[in-house]
Amino acid sequence: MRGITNMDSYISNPHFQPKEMHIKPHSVYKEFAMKAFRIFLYCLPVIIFIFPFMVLITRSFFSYEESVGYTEGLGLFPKVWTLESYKEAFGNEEIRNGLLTGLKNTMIIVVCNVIGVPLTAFMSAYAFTKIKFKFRKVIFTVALGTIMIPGILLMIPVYQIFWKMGWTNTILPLTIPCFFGGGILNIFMIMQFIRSIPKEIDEAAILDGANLPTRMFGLTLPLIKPIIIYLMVTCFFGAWNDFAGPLMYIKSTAPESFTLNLYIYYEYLSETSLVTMRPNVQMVFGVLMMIPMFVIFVIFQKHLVAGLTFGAVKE
Amino acid sequence: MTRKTKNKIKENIVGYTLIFPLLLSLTVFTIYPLLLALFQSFFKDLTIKKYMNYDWGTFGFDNYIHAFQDESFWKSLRLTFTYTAISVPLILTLSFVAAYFLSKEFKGVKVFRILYYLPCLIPGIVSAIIYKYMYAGDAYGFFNSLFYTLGIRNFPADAAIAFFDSEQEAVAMISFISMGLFGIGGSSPFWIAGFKSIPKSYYEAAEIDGISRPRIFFKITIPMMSKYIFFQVISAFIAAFQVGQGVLQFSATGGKNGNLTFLGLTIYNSTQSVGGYNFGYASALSYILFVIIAGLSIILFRYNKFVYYEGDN
Repeated sequence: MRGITNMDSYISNPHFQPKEMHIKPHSVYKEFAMKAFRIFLYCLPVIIFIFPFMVLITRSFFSYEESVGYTEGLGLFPKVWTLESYKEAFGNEEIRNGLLTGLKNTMIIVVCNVIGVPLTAFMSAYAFTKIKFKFRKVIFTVALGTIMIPGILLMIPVYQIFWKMGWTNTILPLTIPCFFGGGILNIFMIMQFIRSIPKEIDEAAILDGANLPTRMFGLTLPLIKPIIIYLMVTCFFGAWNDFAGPLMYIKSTAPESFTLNLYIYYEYLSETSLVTMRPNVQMVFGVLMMIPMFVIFVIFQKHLVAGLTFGAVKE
Repeated sequence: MTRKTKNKIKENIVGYTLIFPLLLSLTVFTIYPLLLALFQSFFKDLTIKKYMNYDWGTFGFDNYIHAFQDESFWKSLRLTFTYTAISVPLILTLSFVAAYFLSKEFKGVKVFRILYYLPCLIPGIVSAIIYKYMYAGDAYGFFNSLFYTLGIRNFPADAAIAFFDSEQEAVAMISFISMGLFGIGGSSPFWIAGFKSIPKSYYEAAEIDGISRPRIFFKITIPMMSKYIFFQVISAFIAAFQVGQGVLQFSATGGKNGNLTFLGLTIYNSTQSVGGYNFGYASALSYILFVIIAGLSIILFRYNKFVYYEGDN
């Protein structure tokens, strides 16, 4: 039977059934069960995933007594919804100044990351794919091999280097390296994309007399826009969230260099902070830090997915 | 000079100019520290003060010998291997399957994608607090009170489960791995992009041929995703082996009896007062870790030949 391989769909189509017969084959029930199962499967993890988020939001509305005290039952929702933690966080002048300094430093780091990393990664990737220079393959293989190096191994010597240069307690170690190469994995990803662009486009550009910078930034870069956007968003998240880096280089003696993360940590979360253990206010800061990330994620969600399609250019 | 060599020289100059920042950062921030750490690993009881003062002590394999004789080192190695062996396949599979469902375009899928990604959006410092609260070892931690409320355990007859600080290694490890389950939406943009890159024509052809759905999944979807899978497997393995310092946020001592003291944590502890600020020992341990990771990566790279690359690569 060449034409019809699935009898069920043939039989179940009322169009083909004789008027007296409206048989629902087994597969219809099976499909319904599958659908119900699928809906259940989707919703169950969502409940799990929503837990941390719910804890974050609801606890920011707790009163201080409730957040520290022990409550009956689940303790997920506050008995009294109050804004006192928000008032405490933003009402204080000192905290506001601290937050603004933190925000300024964090924004500087973020901008350097979002611009520097994709730019230098793109330049390096372009060189590796399009320009045949000597030892190209060797350098790339060695660079790729460096992802196997445990971060801890390099941490101390790198810190010693920055210490000798006098860059500790500033945000320099977090900004300048962004302009120097941009992560070998990123370069690798960009290379895949550049390779998927047909050579003919480049050759046509050369024939038209375009020089290298024009070809690089005017032709290739717009064509691989999706992956560049993905990279920029990832760098934003990484830089905004980065805590270990600032913690390592900036000690508590240099509050003018604090990033937002660091400020919140030193003020509220570490053992040496003056105002510790106010869980409801901690959650407020969490909500604060989360809002930009949430907004960026929602805006760029479409681009994030589109950005990673290998061979996006084919379509 | 012929035009060919002139062009070649020009290509070399242009190429090296473009990758100059990369080369600089590789040399300064990777190769040099690598050699420096190797050098430091051969000196016993080397603290940073001693290093700066050129008071290095004797050159020898003391650190490595001590590592291999130290029982806590072997325990942390075992824990790290167990953790990697369990959590990497588990979390990769779950995130793959979850992303597969998320890649279908049904009504409301955009909302689901955001919901799945939600735990990863919570900033790190605060998320540690949240997880600590959820996994708290006393009766008022979220999971414990949930168990009591649901009647799975009775209060006060059954003691509250101390998740991370449990005496039993298995409980501590399982709790730690289960925390990773919240993050399976994290790689979903990556997977979804991969799923969408599979040309629809393949699926249509398969449907016309009447191939069953599971078979389609295993014979078409997974091979076409092999590029992405390979990338994720390598990254996940390398990351899982290096887990260390993050544990301290959840259990101040690295678990009771060192139940959660992974190799990364042992290394970190060596650099703190707990281990006597012993950078030499930390470097030696890090190199052992490096060798292990490199060895496993090379083995994994052999699987690269199974990866299907489209187009010329």
